[in-house]
Amino acid sequence: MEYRIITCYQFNKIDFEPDLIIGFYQDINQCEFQKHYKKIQDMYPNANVIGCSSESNIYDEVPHVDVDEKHICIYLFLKLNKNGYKIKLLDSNQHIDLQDDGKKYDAIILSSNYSDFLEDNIEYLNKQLGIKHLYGGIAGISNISNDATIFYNGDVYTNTLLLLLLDNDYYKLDGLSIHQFEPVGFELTITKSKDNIIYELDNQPALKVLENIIGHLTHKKIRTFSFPFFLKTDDYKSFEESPLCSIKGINRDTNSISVYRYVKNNDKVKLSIPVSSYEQLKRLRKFHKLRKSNSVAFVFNCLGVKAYLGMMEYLYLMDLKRHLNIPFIGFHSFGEIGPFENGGVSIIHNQTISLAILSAVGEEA
Amino acid sequence: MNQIIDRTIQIAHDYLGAFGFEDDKIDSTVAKGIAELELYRDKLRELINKEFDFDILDRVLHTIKGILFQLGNNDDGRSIDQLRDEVNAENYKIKIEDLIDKL
Amino acid sequence: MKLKKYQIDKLIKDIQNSFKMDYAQAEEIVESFKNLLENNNTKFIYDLNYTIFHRRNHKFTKQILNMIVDTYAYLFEEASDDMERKIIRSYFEKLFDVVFIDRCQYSKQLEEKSKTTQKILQHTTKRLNETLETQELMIANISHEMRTSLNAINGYLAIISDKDVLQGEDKQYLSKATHATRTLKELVSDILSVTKLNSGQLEIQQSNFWLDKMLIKCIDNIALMLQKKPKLHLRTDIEFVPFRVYGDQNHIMEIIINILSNAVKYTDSGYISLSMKTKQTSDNNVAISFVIADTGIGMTSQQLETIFSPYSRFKTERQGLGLGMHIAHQLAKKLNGNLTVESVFGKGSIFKFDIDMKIADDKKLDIKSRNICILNKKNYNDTYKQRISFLEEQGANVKVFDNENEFINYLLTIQDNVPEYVSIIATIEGYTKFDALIYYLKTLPIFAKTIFIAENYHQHISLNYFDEIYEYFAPIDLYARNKTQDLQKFESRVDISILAIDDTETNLDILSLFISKKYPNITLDLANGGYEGIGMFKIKKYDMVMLDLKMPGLDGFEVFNKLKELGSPLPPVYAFSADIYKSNIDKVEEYGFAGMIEKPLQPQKLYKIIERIMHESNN
Repeated sequence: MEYRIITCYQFNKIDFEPDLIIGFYQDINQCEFQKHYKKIQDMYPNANVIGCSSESNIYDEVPHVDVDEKHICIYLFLKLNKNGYKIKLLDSNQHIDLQDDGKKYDAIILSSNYSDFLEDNIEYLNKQLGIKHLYGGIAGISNISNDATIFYNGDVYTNTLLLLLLDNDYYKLDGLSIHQFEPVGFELTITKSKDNIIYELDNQPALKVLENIIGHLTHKKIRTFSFPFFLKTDDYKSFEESPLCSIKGINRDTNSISVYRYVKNNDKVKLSIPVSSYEQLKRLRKFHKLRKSNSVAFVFNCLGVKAYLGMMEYLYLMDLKRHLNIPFIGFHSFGEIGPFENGGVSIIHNQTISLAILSAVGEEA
Repeated sequence: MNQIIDRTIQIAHDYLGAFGFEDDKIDSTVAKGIAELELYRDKLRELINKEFDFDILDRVLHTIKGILFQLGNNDDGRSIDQLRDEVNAENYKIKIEDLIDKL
Repeated sequence: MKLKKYQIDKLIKDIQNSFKMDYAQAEEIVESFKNLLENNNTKFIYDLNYTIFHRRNHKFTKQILNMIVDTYAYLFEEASDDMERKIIRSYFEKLFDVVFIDRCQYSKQLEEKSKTTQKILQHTTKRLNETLETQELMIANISHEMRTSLNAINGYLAIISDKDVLQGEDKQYLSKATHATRTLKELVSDILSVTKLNSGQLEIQQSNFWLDKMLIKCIDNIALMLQKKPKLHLRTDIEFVPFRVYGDQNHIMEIIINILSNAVKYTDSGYISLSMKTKQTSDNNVAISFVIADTGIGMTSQQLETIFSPYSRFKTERQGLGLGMHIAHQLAKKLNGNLTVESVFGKGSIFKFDIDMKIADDKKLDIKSRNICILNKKNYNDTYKQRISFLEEQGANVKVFDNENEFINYLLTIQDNVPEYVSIIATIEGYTKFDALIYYLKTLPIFAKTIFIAENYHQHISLNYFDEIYEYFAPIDLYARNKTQDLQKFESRVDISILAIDDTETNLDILSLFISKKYPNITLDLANGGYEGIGMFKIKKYDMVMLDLKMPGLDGFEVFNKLKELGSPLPPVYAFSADIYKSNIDKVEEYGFAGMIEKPLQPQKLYKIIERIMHESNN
């Protein structure tokens, strides 16, 4: 498997014919990305180009996070066996159809937004199609007036899932999601909710319950992503294995809290507190076990991670780079897909650092 | 409801326990005492709804008082004695009704 | 801005010296720094920041800071013009921003976040405490209610048992139900004790008491358990303590009984030893050490760690909730004592309970001129000797025999100064020899006031077959018993019959409770009403009648008249009433009752009356 990670200003640095190009673009620079696509098309007419928008990109060079907005469009050029992968695009209410070809796949999912449709498909991929190694991210935006988008061979889509399926005879994915919180306190039951809005917790106005515990909330405080909920549905035995759910906003008129995923009545939530810096590093080191040569990685970092960790984010990415020593490309997402344990079930998260490592079968060491 | 009986149960165990009787014996005695209190309470209820007979009522009150005293509940026993001294028929009836309620 | 070669060399050398690096490494760093100055490549800054993060060493960070400042000062001085100085300043400002200022800002943010974390934790702690309090209250209330209901169940089961109407299997089921209720009651009591301890509701009740007497009660408590394990023996080594102590006897007993019960539970054969040692630490204080050792199953080191935790129970087939040791440990702490344990798995355990107590500010034992006769064939241990010395110091006349024949001869031939106490220390088999003698002596008027004591330290304590004759394992204060109390020992030999007539079962029950406890040999017949009483009186001779005055049908006075009419000599008839008015007393006297017994029952008064009857019967 040949690969190269470049920015939009480095197309002349490619010395092989790529089959697949994965790119991430800051939403406000979508036009740039489309312009560059034309260039790519001219240079490599047989290559598939897929990608999605991001809040900001994560690149393979120090400091990895795009502090100076130098890497508004980034690309991973891959030379793959044509039989080794498939690309599927799904819009709402579609389930993937793999026409029982007897093959096993791993998959990368890029979704334009969080939706029931995404949740359903992840479950479908996991349980019906037996795709265990499933990683990905929800496209991000930096400007709220924009829509997050998926890009596929020149076209831009909203309300869409893009699946990159990798045939296990040729390629495989390995990865993990970690976060830096632990659940604390008593569980609260969502007693009134709709979609992603929580109106009542334990039959009390949700916002009042929350402010009773953490004090007065401002939008500025919310943007620090400092106190996500652990969201335990019937699918999870404990809060420790439940995903995080970030707070999106509050509404003082209705005393409600909006979050970045759907919730329902009788779901349980717990507040979270950050783990110690020692524990943060310990969790980060879980990634080191995934180290393989001859591979590339995708990094899906929640926007919440960027807001919460601040300068620590790039230090952690530098640490990751030093220990894994493989090139990576990624973006700040509005949700990530991956397992908490290596080999575990992939779920949708908020506020995680998620990693997916792509390697060719037989080449990894 | 059952205030006096509940109180008596508590007191009786402590009272008889202080004499060093075994738990089984205390439980058995208390159980009998409570059963009798309940019986006489029902009798009072029956009597108060029929035509008034002071003598019978007095005898029943006397018995209840005796049981309460035997089980160590002196305070409630004494208050029944005071009830027996009530001369006004109307007040007597009200007090007995009140006692039935509390018993 | 371009660095000159000599500047590069100097920087390399400075880095080598400051950080003990080799040339290649230092050169790489300077190269990266050069890239920053010449090409605006900020990699150097982030690498430096990462290095500080990775090393996490404030001394190292300080070295970096010094290096930065020195390098800045050096280059600034070396700068050829203002432009160069401006460039140098801007890069070093950026360096400071990323490496230090960002860090400060991050720390500030962390501080803000930690405030929120603190709020969350405080709120959680508060709710946890509230929940715990509520739970404890709930457990206490539930346990209380359960105990009330269990008492009722136990009571009714006891009533059915007393009626003795069940046969065969049904009788067995009743017995099992009773046993189960009893077990449940004990469990609920344990839970209540724990909640009381945890909520600080435990009351310490202090009083003066004899340590040996307390230990006898503890041993008595486990006597039944011991009986069920014939291969298990109890040994005691109880130091003689010639004074009372001031403390919470009941809770100390609870601790020792818990440990002893545990020892019996987990030891099937071998022995359990109970020892008590004291050390007077000042004029008014004594340090007491209770040690209970067993040859039981012992504990592993893991089990030892959790032995005092609630609900620790090592073998699930052994009964109990696992609260006993926890309660004992908590109680020990509450009493300012210390409970520890050592154990070897498969071999046994040793529990040690140490506590300091005050010496009671007591009057001395009143045994001056008491005559005490002791037969001790072999047990001349220190405790025994100290005891004898103490009794003699207190003024008692102690006569000691180590020869059986001399002892027997003495008792048979004595005419005056008859001992008030005859104490025999022997083996269990040894006592059988004296049965006939003691029975005979007890029939003699001169031994009317003598108490016979079987002091048996090293065998099973429950000496059922001595119960009729002896006090056993006597505590020291036995010798100070009031002479009038001695009468009871003699009186209990006389079988008198009492008839009690009352329409209220509870009254009869209470009478029965008190009389049978004190005088187990008295025959007490209970008649539930006047007619029944008369019927019973017709067919049997009674030494005493107790007659309730207010009964439906025939009242007490009418029954009394009927009894008189029956012709046979009327025994003393006592009126039994709650109405102690002068008019009533006068009427009772007029009718010819022997006296009046008040309700509620006052045991001491009742006993005096009974003893008088017994004495009269006997003489």
